[in-house]
Amino acid sequence: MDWQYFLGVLQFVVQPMSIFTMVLSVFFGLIVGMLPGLTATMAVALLTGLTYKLSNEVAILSLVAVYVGAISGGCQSAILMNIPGTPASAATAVDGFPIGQRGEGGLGIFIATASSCIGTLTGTLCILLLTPPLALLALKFGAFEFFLLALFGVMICGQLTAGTDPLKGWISGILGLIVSQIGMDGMNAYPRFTFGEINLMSGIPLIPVMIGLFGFPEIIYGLVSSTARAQIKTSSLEFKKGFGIMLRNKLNIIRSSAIGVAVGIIPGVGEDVAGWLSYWAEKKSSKTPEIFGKGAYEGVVAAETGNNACIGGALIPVLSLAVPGSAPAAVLLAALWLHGLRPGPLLMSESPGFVIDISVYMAISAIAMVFLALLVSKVTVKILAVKSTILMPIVYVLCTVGAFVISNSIFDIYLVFVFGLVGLLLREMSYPAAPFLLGIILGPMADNSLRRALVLSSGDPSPFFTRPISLIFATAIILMALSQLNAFGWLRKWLVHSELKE
Amino acid sequence: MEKHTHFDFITSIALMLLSLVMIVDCYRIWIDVGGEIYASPGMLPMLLAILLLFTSFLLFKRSIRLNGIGKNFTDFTAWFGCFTKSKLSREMLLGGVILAIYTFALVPRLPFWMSTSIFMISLMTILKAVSIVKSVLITALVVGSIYGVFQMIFHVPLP
Repeated sequence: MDWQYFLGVLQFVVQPMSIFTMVLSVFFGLIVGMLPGLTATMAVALLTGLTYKLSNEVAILSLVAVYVGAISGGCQSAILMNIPGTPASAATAVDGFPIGQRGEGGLGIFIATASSCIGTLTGTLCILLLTPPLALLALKFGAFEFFLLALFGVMICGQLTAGTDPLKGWISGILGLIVSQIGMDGMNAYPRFTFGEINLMSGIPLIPVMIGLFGFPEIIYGLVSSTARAQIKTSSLEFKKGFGIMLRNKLNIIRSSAIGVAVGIIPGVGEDVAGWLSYWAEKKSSKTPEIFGKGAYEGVVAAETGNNACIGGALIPVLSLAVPGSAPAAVLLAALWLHGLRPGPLLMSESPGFVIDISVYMAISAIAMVFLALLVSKVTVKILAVKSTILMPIVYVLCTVGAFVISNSIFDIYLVFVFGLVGLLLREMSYPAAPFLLGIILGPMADNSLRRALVLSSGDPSPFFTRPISLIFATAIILMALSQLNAFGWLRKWLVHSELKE
Repeated sequence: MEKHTHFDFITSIALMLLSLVMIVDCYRIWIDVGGEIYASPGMLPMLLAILLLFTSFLLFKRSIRLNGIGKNFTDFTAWFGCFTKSKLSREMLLGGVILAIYTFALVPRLPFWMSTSIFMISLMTILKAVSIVKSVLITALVVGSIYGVFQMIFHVPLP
């Protein structure tokens, strides 16, 4: 580690303005995270617009802090109400709510918060360790590799976020890639699919799309939601017992952190998948799997460690490849671009201290989150009692302001609504929104890389299959597609059939 | 999966039509710009349109295999009938219409404080969220806070 960068960022974060911004952002993230219906992606997207006028350092600190806060805050409503504040905390509710029901809500929140903090810190460590080698590897990428990386990212995101129906995930990703083609292309400045609309010439701006895609459906559902929430009161935090539980779960924490980081690195696959996988792995390896679902502390520790470790994991490809590891990380990537930063293979040479900056922001946000979350837990029940019919109009006004302030364009507010409807339709028809978003982000890279690659090879596509890194991506893409077409099933049948013939 | 089969049937048809229109448009772009097709601005969109056509055809085929064409149509019309009669969907539509009025009619024409006040008070009143007095107070607090933070502290113009 280069200590001069480390000391420089420490000097920045101890300034009163930085501390104030960080505390406020973590607090905002916690509140958004714990309110059912408001997601971490929405929190980061909303704050991106609101921090537009701040200096780069303060804005990035604020966005990282809100990301950490929002992912961590979801556990409180999961434990006290059986409603995960964010999808990332869905696995936490399985054992968290029974813990709350038996009068240990405070203890549940303590172990969930402590696990979140440890998960985030582990993710931070992995950013420091894994980003530089990955960025070095990324320097070997040419146009061929970048095109296939974009395609692979959208496909694997579609595969993993669509549950049992990868086809819909892929369609969602392709639609996102198509939307990204609107506007003047990067090589010929030819206006594509603009229908003469001047506002579309520069393409579809990311932030209004993100706000609409993730915020609008929640607002619409929130406006009509009238279901009574089963709330239970929080109890004392029981630090001593909580520390004991954490110490007994050392292996669980290590395993869940590793799963969280690994899931985070996969493009577009988010914290919710990390939480579930970590929970599943802990249950599988437990000597008493029958207690899971009935208030097992191990389940809460695994889910919360996994989903928070995913934050660090998701930022590794953002920093080294400019490919987001999850939906909130995608918004963060757009925010970095908005503030003039260029994450990607050249980041380590252009801004060598940036990885350390992000890591320190994450680490101190995680520590601040513990104190704030435990403080907030005293009033969580009251915050959660705010009617969604009051909250959602306010959220929509903030979405409008957030979309407008970036380029002072009323057209961006229209886009929030239009892509909000798209998000609503995607959700109603069971298409995941994450691949759509990833498609919009990776589309320009895919377009420029594909055409540059083909121009370099005079239209010959063979380098896509002969260059070593390209070959790896191409094989992975073909295998994914074949598995969906049941090609392996047919192959097995054919082999069995031919053996029987013999 | 079966729950959405009739949706899949309808969306796959819509997506196939969209992809066909795109393929034609991409061909037009290639002719318009000239040169080799691999360097044309329509190259990737055309590939994506072909992929979309292929994947939506798979979805279409699956929906027919599971339900058949006739049942998909009857399921969809039955769903549409329920949708138009359902209280929840009407409330969702009403919410959407109010958001649309705010977005497309109020924000571009009126000052931010006025458009937002009309929007928030009317929405909270229609949804019977709180009494009118409380909704006015909440609105004043929200609009005042936004003005305070954005215009006074950050000097950011509002819509």
